[in-house]
Amino acid sequence: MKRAPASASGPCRIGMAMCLMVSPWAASAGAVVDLSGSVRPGTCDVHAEDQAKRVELPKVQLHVVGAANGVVLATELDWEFRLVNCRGVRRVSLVFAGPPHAPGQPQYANTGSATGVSLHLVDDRTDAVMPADGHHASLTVTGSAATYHGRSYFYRHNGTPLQHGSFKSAGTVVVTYD
Amino acid sequence: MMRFAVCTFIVLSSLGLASAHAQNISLTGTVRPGTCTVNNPSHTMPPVGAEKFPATAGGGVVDSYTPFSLELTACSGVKGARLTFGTAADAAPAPDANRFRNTLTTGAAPNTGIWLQSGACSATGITVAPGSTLTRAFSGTHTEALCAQYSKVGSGEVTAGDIASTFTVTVDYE
Repeated sequence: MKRAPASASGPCRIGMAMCLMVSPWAASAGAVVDLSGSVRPGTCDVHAEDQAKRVELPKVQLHVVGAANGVVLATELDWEFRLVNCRGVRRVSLVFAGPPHAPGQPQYANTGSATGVSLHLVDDRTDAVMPADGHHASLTVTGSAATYHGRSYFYRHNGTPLQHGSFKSAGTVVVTYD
Repeated sequence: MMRFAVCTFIVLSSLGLASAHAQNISLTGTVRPGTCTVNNPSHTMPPVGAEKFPATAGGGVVDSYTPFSLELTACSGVKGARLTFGTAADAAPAPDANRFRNTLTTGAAPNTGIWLQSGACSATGITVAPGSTLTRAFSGTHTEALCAQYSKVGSGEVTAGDIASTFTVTVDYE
């Protein structure tokens, strides 16, 4: 008779112990944190030698320019525009533009003292003329760099007398990144 | 054994035996902690250029610092709380599992995640990794200051795209 209560109380003691071990923490529905944002394309640096780039055109004699209207092939000069240290950039878009020799003409104006000539620019990869009112080019960035290859010529406009003098032409390039 | 003891007691009671039998009845219970009202923070982080991301995996972007807070208010019968921030499923792939992953499947900025820190935004903030907990003692109300920033994850390059991360903070009350 005495054993029965003793054995019956055994499980109860265990039950009490389990009650005391219940965590003091009571779970509840939580909060939802919602964060969002965006990453814009990165940028590149213009190569130090191409910042405010100055291209020295060849000095030519008038007879080399000649009388025929058009590109003076003998004055060909290759040049390049380099972008370096590109980070987070997949492609770059370039737009070259400047004042035209005359409205609607693709050549760049000469602001120097020589007359009858202008500057003719060509995309070296495609041989496409780079019109002064805006030439668009797209380059893929490889190895954190991209280089645009261009070509320049004097251009003879035989509607205007050819006179010797200085030659100066300016343009801008706008770079956008993707 | 428990079930047997209880049944015996019931039988004896229903028999209504005349013999006097003093019986102490013990009633026990537990008062559970109360709860608080918790806000659901939603923030649009500032856009930054990809060049702002460091080359090193796990690195953060200071320009994207976004301070916000988890507000526990209207607390009743609460001595403290344990906050669990998301789960392991919210983590970026190893070895950057202490960053929250970018959950976008389209238009996502590659190799990005979100770095959550406790406290004000600073270079010395304490990382709150997905699935980790913070335990706080308080009464009345509690404001848990947090800071989110973009983070580079993995070894690939970060390029343009979007970043998003949504996770649940489970609150256990004491």
